[in-house]
Amino acid sequence: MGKKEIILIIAIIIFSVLIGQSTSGNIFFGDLNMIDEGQFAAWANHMLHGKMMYKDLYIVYGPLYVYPLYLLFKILSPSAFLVRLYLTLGGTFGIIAIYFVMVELKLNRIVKSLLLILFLCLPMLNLRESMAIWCLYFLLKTTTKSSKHSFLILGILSSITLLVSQDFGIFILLVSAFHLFYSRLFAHNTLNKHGIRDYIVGYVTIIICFTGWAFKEGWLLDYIRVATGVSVDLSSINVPNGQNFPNPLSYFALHTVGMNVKYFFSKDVLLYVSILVYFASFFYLTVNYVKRKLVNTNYKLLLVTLYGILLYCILLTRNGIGHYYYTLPAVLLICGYFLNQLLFINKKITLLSSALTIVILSFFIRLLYLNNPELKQSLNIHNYLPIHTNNPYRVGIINISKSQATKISLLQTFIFKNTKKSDYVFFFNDEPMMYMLVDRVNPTDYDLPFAGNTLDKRIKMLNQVAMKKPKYIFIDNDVWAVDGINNKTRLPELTKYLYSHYHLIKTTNNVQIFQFI
Amino acid sequence: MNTTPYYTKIRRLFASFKKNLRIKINKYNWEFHFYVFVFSLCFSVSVFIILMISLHLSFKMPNTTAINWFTVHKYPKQQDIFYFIFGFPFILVLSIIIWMLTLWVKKR
Repeated sequence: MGKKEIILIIAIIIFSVLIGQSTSGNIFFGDLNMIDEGQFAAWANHMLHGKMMYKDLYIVYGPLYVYPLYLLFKILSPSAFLVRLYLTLGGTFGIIAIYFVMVELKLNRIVKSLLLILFLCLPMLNLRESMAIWCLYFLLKTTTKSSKHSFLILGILSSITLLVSQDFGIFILLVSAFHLFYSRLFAHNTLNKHGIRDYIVGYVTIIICFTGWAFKEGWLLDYIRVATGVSVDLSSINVPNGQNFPNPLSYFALHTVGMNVKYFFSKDVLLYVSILVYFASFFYLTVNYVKRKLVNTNYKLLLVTLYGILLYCILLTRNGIGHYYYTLPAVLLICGYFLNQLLFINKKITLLSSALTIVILSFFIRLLYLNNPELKQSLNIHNYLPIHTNNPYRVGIINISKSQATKISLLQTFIFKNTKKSDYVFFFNDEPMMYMLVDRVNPTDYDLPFAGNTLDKRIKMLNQVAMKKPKYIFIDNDVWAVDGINNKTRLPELTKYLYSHYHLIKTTNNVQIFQFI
Repeated sequence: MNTTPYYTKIRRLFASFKKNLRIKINKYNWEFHFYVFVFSLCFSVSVFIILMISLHLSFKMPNTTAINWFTVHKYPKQQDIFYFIFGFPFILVLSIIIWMLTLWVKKR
């Protein structure tokens, strides 16, 4: 690694941490994300209270996504700031990987800079995506430099990715398998003879180490049960969150011409733009394959495209803006590749090449505009100055809104005054962050109650509440209902139990507090 | 008696087809291929939509105890997955076939 690259990496880290966007927002300001950040805070805090991953906690991600935060909590004491910092650094780690992927794709300096700006300004990466991008980088590296270490590292990273996130781990495993077998069968010259063996050795070594650790801690079988359950549920009708994939035809049939024109600039259409980019990539690769011009960089583009297509499957169920961002890295890398071809490889500038360049750049601007409110906030220097002299307990140095600070303080005061540390409290809505902020334990496995949406999970949740009898149950009527369906609808058995065994004692800041009768 | 295995014949046929196609591809610049791609993509998407409408596919709600957006709105989730898994390769392959046919016709 050269001196310039080291400086660039330092610049990426500084920009990303100071004013860049992570999936949780800026680390210095912005309200706490009670769900996305909150789930990590709750899991790590519950582990500090002695709960075991997967055995006592329903965790939808891999253990290596949660465990580092638990260690951080243990060493530095829990805070919401620490959670955000951890998630932000996870994203930053991926932006560095993106840079190396761009180097592998031999993109021009200008294109690389342009893409880096986009990756820094849009909340596209988190730790699980970052791990997958690092795998992608080593995957691309094995196409040019076939050494034993590349495959071994790829195998190790692929298994770590699986342990960070099941879905990303499976995607990477599939792309790696394609690469290993394709190279073995069709391109003997570029693949190390023992590539497959080295990959398996790296993969299995990590899995064996992990198995030993999880077995020793006593949650191995629970992990296997939950991980397979989550993977099946996410791709079936049992998925807790998600809506239908937008259908433009039904929209066009129901709206006026003006509305239909406006629709072309909507977020829904961006979902189809990604598909168009993948079509273009496959077509480009087919033409080059027939022309015998499937050179190394084109083959790398094929691997990126395959990874992107697999990642896109996430959007078939969960196509909200947050998940849309996650699927963008591959799309942007392909766009960057085409931009590179148009501007720097194909030197003849024509009307069509200029038009295509404008289209790609417009797409980039549209994406930046999508995140416009957050970007504006990040560029406002006043947001970085502390607005509260005393943030609520365990919030850390994040500037949160006055309304959120008041709500947290009121609940903390009530809970600290009326409960002991060993008492259970239950937050009926999806705001797991509160467990960490009040340092109390959830009687159930489900810190996000909406995730326990099948009958067996609902009954399990109900039994745990009935058995452990939390002293108070809180219903926050301001909380965001996932997909517009609140938890009273999602959890009918628990709702019935709540109203028959608890009585309302107080309503503060639109939060109803129920006490056990 | 010809003892050449069938798969060798297929392989030779494919190699010859690819060679002919390659010669034809090189005759035209990338812009030509781009325009053909845009046309073939539009055509393939139209064929796919017409095919789906004419097939009158109906998807049943799977049996589940889950309560989520899909069950509340009685939306069979598998239809989105079906359209993507069937539609993406269908449109892609048809577009490539049209592109190849265009090159073949163009030569004649």
